[in-house]
Amino acid sequence: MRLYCQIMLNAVQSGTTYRFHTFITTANRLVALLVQFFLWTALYAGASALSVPITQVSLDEMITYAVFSTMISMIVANENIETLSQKIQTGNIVTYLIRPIGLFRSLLFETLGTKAFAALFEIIPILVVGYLFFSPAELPLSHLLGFLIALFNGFMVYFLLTFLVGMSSFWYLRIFHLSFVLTHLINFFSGIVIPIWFFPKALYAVTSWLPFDLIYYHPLAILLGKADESQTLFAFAKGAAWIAVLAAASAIAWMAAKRKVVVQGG
Amino acid sequence: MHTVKLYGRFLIVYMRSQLEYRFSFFGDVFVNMLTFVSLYLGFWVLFQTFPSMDGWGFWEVLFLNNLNLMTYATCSMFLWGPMIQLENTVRTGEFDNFLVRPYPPLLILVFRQFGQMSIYTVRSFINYPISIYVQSIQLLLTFLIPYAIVNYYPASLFFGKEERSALFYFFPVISVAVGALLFLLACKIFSRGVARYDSSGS
Repeated sequence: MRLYCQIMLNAVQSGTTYRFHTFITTANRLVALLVQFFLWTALYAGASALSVPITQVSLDEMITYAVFSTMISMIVANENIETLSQKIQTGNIVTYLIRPIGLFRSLLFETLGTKAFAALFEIIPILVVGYLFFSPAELPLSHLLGFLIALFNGFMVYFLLTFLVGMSSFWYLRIFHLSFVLTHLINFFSGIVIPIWFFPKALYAVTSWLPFDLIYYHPLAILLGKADESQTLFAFAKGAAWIAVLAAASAIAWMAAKRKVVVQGG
Repeated sequence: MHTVKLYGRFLIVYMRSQLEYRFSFFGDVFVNMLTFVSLYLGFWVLFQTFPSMDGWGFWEVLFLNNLNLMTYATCSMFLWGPMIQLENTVRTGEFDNFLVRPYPPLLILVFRQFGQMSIYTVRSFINYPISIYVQSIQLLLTFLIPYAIVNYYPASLFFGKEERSALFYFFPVISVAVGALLFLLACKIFSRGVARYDSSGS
């Protein structure tokens, strides 16, 4: 336990070192949020001018969605792909092999450590600015527990997906191809900007078979009270199933990679 | 004429070197195409529910985005790569240069960071017609960081939408001039940078 605390503490310290970088990242996210605010405002104004009813969600709720989507993007963010591809290509991955704890857990606790820092300097500023300037809708606290469970699932799904892409560096050197593909799949299918409830039926069906909406859409739908009980339970079950599948894939990838890294090192 | 010929030779050599790694070359192409596909799909989904974006329809917004992408592609074909490399050579090789300048080195670094931020982030503003923003942002995108010249003003002229932002009704017409002016300015700054680099060389 002490060991894990130390890993997290190291990550906190390196976070404080790159303070300026943090500031820039937060500023970037705020600008992106600002763009979304104006985008949804214009879209809703256009709909009401032509008296097209938007039944799924009100403008206030949509802005709340955008604010909390930005918050989730900070919570789930990790450096798995960069760290793994860099360590694998330089051979420094060997330092993980001689540690008393596994690669996966090292990375996980490093990420959790950065979150403690992010909570103070990234997440809270976003929420403060979001509430001061964009006046999002009131949120019923009764959905908070469901939101936190779904958020945990989303965090793990994203962590495992990036871990798998990072691990693929053992076999494929141009890692940014896969990393881009993952980014675009998430940009479109996760509901990070456009919630899945706006999707046409066929695309909605495709999305429900993919893991990406677990990261943004499901936690946010639960938080906004847009998911009824059965949908919430479905989201939990889907999350658990995907975590199991992706964790198994990660374990297999790591076993195969360990065999390969011996060959490279010899 | 000689320059054009030379450039052609360079292009052929470059293409050959890229095709050497065939798999990764086609990977690059595929990934680039995916960028556009996900962008278009996003707009398509939005316009399934919402009828208009401040008076602009699906195809008009797509045109707006493609103008942006086209200028970006043209720019990166000629300038983007060399400029990124320039920055790297300066940073890795000759960091001392910052220290011997008459400006505080930190300030230069900070400015550069902000510059990069404005390049990457402010660009996202022009994915949509800028008339959706408050007037201060429209002013910013027109005069301070004139990204709106890239796509909004030409496209609004093309679709006859210039009356929507009456403040800048003359802008579509002068956008070409602004482009030429900025290009000249960039060339000037570049040659000044080169001169400075020579004089401070260690």
